[in-house]
Amino acid sequence: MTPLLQVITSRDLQSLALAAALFLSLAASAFVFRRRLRGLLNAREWRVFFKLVAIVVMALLLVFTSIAVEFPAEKFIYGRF
Amino acid sequence: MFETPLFWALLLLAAAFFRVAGVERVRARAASLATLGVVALLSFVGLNPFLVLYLVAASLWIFFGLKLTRRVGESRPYLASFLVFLPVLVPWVLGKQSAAGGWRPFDFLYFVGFSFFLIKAWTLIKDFHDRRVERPDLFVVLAYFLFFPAYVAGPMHLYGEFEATLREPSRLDGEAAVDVLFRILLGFVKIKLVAALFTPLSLEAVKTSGALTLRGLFAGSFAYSIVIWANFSGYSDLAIATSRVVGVRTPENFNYPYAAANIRDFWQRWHITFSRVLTGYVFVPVSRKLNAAFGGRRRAVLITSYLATFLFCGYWHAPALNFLLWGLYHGAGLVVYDLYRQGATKRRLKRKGRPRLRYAELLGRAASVALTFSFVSLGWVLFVLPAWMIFKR
Repeated sequence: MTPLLQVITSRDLQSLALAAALFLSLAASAFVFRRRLRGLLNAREWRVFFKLVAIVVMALLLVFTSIAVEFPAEKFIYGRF
Repeated sequence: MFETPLFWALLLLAAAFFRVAGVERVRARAASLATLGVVALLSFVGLNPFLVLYLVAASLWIFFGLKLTRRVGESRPYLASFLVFLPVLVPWVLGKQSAAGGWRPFDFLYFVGFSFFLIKAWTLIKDFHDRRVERPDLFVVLAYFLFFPAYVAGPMHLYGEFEATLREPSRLDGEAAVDVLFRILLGFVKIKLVAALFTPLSLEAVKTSGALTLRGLFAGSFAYSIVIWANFSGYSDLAIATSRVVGVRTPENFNYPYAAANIRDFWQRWHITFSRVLTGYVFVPVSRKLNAAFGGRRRAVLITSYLATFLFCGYWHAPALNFLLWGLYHGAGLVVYDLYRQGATKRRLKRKGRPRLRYAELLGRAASVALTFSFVSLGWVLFVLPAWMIFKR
């Protein structure tokens, strides 16, 4: 089995930091505008909405994982397939 | 199993069939699920036809055996239960021992899903003789044993809950469809991403390399905690979600096990459908029998019951010394916790009236969770590494 954990480069860490910052800013703005958001959808609808978002995120994660497994680092020069 | 296109084809076929044909009657649903179960066992589960025939015959034997032993069961329930159970128990033990000892003639009896079949058989037989199940139906019994989304590794239904879900199948409306898709993807993320990420750091890698350093074992066991949880709970997510596609509600198998504050709490959150069997169908009968025989020695009864239950738990997982030791390790943990709890209750009663600070409670809870997680994690060393490797170290 090809180990999924490959070399983590500074470029990967940059995108991880960016993703974390994006997530935190989204969470913060959701907290600030929580009253307006509550009027937009009810609790049940928000739950379904977040599940739909999670479905998209997980589907992307699985696609990237399969790429990482099928094209391990040693088979290509970083950034160029 | 969940990676084969045939599984999904069969699942969608079943879902479409139930929806279009409106198979509302319990027996019709059960017969369809049992037929699909046979197809699944022969195809993507990969059992040979002889074993599938054996499983069907064993299911039929249990159904008719229960009817035949009803009278005996009224006066001697344990005798009746064992008479029905023997044709499943003996081949299972033979298969396990053959796999452990390399006996060629019976090693074919060590096959995927047989241990889960055994547990389902025992709970049905026991429920029948304890009058929790009154009149089992032939087709429901077959569907119960051969239900394909949960055949390989559970979660395991009790017969009563399986029959109930066939009577009132869950509906698959828009919101439920989102739930199902979410759960399927979550299962795959746990298996394909989380488990795959931590496997190279876990005890599996330590076992392959053979380099048993103390640091490697320590780090490997914590990483393996994540691997085994991600793999097993991911598989359960897939089984629960795909069961729902064919209208069957399958019980939950995990409830944040690593948030457990003590070892008893852990076993109420980990592999729930198995641990409830250990409690209700092994520990309780064993401790009742021992209590009847040695009523005065409560502590000795408690210790023996825990150790016997978890020795069985270890053997059920695999017939090897390290699994028996792993079972004893957890049994001993539960004994120590139970004795500690008895002492703690006495201390609390003495201290009654003195209020405790909230932060102290929170800190205590966090320490308990960390301690339980460490105890469980270090126990995986016995679960993964063969005994000779541990003793060599």
